[in-house]
Amino acid sequence: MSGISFKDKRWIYIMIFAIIYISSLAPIAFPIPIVNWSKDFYRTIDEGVVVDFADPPREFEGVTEGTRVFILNSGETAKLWGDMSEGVKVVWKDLMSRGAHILLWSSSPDNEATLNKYLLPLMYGPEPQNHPDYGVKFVNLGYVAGGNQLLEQWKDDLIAITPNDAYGNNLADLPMMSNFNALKTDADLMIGFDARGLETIYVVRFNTPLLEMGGTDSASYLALSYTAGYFKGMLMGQRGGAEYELLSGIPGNSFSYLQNTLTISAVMILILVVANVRYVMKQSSVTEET
Amino acid sequence: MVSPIEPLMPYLNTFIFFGAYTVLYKNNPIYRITQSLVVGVGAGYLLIAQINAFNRGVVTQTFVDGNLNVSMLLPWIMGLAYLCIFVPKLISVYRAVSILTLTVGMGVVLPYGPALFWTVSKTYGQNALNFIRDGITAASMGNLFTAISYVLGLSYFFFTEYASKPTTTARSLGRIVLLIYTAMCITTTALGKINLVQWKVLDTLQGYPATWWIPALMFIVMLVDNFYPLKNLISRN
Repeated sequence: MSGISFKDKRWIYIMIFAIIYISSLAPIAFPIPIVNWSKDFYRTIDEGVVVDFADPPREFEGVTEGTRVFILNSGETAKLWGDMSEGVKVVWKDLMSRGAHILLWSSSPDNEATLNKYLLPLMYGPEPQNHPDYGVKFVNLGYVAGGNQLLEQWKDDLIAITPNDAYGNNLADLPMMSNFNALKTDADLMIGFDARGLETIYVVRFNTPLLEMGGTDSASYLALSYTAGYFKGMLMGQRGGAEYELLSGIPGNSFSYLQNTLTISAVMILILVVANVRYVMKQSSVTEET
Repeated sequence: MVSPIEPLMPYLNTFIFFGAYTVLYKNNPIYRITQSLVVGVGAGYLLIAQINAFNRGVVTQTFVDGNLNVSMLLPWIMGLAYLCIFVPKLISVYRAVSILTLTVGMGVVLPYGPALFWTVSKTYGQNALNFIRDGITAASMGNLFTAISYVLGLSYFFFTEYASKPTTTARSLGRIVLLIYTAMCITTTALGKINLVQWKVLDTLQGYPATWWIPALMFIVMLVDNFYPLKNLISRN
């Protein structure tokens, strides 16, 4: 039989469970300021934006009935879903309520599986291909291999390169695809899920407005592209989802997730402060002894 | 078609997620089962998904309305050439198509590097001067600070090889900028990972069916094992 002392690393295991469960059962509410990149994200969807990297500038007037939105599920969505789930859901609901035409592409099998399991059934039922909106307001390309080279080709002719959707339907037969083919001109808005590749080039060469969603830990590097002007807005982690819920007025679960995150953060800060004070006091007592 | 094991999925999902974390306690059978399941099922899924993608993208497009689509012969040839990795005598064929694929890919993507660098530098430079137009605000000062940090960070990379005096200060400051940036990345990454665990905890509490008892049970088992090793129960002695 082995005991457990305060120096035992197994305390980490116990503390992770204790803190997360406590914060989940009894979250503390903190006021949150909405960060600029979230405001810009909502503003772009609601009011639009002007993109002027190339001549002539492109004026996007926000998402309305029939706006063609290309969603790139191309980053690490599968790994980060737990942190970006509610944000994606609330934005997707907003796009649907505004009547957007949504074209979804997944760049890897695990990203496709994540949305198939956690998002599409919520929005379109267990068989999305049988939903009344399918083919009219939503088309799922599924996983299509090719990455950046594929996007480079899709800029001129998507249907020629990828004739079928994820369910084997002929894209040319789907009403929504009648004016959604050459992405460089036909995509009114692009939304990347933790994407960081060629879609940036669409902004610079074709002035396609680009928004970005990701996990909390994506923010540090994606922010570089936001401040450089490529991304016209970002929504990061459960906090981003909560901010979008506030801005759009669409109810969701993000806020409760955020409260838990804030509780965890507060507890962690408290523990760090106590541990550091203890360390400093211990150091000074050692110094006095010598 | 709904999978016959669908009713078990919420339980399996929770078991796998929290089973992975039990390695924090120690290497144990639950963790090893989880590891094998994730690696095995993951590999199988990826294999099937790639075959499905090849079927949709190539096989079904080779003959359209009974006519041969000549452009689809290329992926067939490339695919067969890739399979030469399993034939030692034909390994050069595999290498040839690998190099071809790699160089074409690089040819498409590489030119965008300098283009991105130029656009980022230009935009940061322009934004740095926003304070002249907008006055001193948090946003304009932020842009100025970002541009200065960008230049200092770059100077660390570009001039590290040249230890001449004019660049010494910029390099030192660039190092500080990069250290602060690294610290920010580590902090946000840690918070992101905590968010992932917390999301799953809430899923076990609020989802249907509630599966919170699975990690709780795992925790109790680990706790009992800590004081009374459970392997004693199955000991031959």
